[in-house]
Amino acid sequence: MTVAFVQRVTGSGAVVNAQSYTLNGVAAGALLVNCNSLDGDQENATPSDDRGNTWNTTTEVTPQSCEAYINYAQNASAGNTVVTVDYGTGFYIEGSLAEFSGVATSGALDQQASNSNAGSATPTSGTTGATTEADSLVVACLACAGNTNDQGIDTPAATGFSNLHVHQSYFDTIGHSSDYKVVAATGAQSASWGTMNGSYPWAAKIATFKGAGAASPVALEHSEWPLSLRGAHGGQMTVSVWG
Amino acid sequence: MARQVNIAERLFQPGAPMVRTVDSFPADVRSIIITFTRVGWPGTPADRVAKVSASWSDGTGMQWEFPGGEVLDKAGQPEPVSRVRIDVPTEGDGAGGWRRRAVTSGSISFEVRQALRTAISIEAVA
Repeated sequence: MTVAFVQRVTGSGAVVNAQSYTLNGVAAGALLVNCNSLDGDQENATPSDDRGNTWNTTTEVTPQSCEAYINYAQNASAGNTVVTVDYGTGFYIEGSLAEFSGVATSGALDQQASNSNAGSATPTSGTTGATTEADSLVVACLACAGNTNDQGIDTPAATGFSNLHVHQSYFDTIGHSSDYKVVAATGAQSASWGTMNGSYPWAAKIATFKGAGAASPVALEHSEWPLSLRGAHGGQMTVSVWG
Repeated sequence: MARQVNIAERLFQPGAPMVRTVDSFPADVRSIIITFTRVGWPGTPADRVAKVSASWSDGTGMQWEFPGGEVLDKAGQPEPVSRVRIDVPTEGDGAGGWRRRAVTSGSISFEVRQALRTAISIEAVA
């Protein structure tokens, strides 16, 4: 089964105590990925939802007047889903919630990396270790606290990403980009967002998720009855015919 | 081109939420931005004195809870507004990309948990 983007909802809050995202008609087994950028040094908080899914955080980035967080829930329950994040009192947030199909339903998080800088024009996510599955989903999130309304974040992230959400202004909320791509070969992953309009504080995060994998190919073990069909990953079926 | 609806400042009481539908936004609308003036709001920043929900016709949406009292902005001054934004949702196009969902209307619900005064602006941004 190929990893694929299904849907997303994006938005922001300025001076809020909680932000919730609603996705309609989430499919059973989906991976939900929530990317948030926050102003200041907000501790990450595990999201919650109204479907009883188990939410996980990734490791925190060293904050630089802002924070970038990637959270996820694997093997999601089917149905309309409201996911809530709560970072305390009166926070500023830009974020996205996206649904992906074809991702492993357990142990989905594979690799992660992070990077941050107190003053740089070239934000990068850091480089992950090599992914362990050829078919993988890569998600990257950038937060930027450059005090301008046009930070000049280049989107989509390089190389080969699609943008989920971008916001270029710090005046109302926080600079943000969340991006994803689907890869078909193992290897280290990273994301970069070009050269911004100035040297700004930023924090970035990248995470990879294992694909669910293709159906195991079968091979004929021998040509006499009963037939024994053995899958590449050890599954076996024996076919007998009585007549 | 942006289209804006303003609701004059008035006292909101706990109880039935105020609901507004947004069904005449430009076809190329990208986001809806809702701004609440928050001068003199009751309670403290740890209190959740109000809630706004915004949803599109396809069922996707966002919700926010607002702090009470005086919250300082990034410059350390009292923040005069709370502002939220919801973008038009998108979906996969079956070819590895994505497309904007064909939403035709939106609904906004505002509910207070403590009596408060606020003016509200709702802006559809193309």
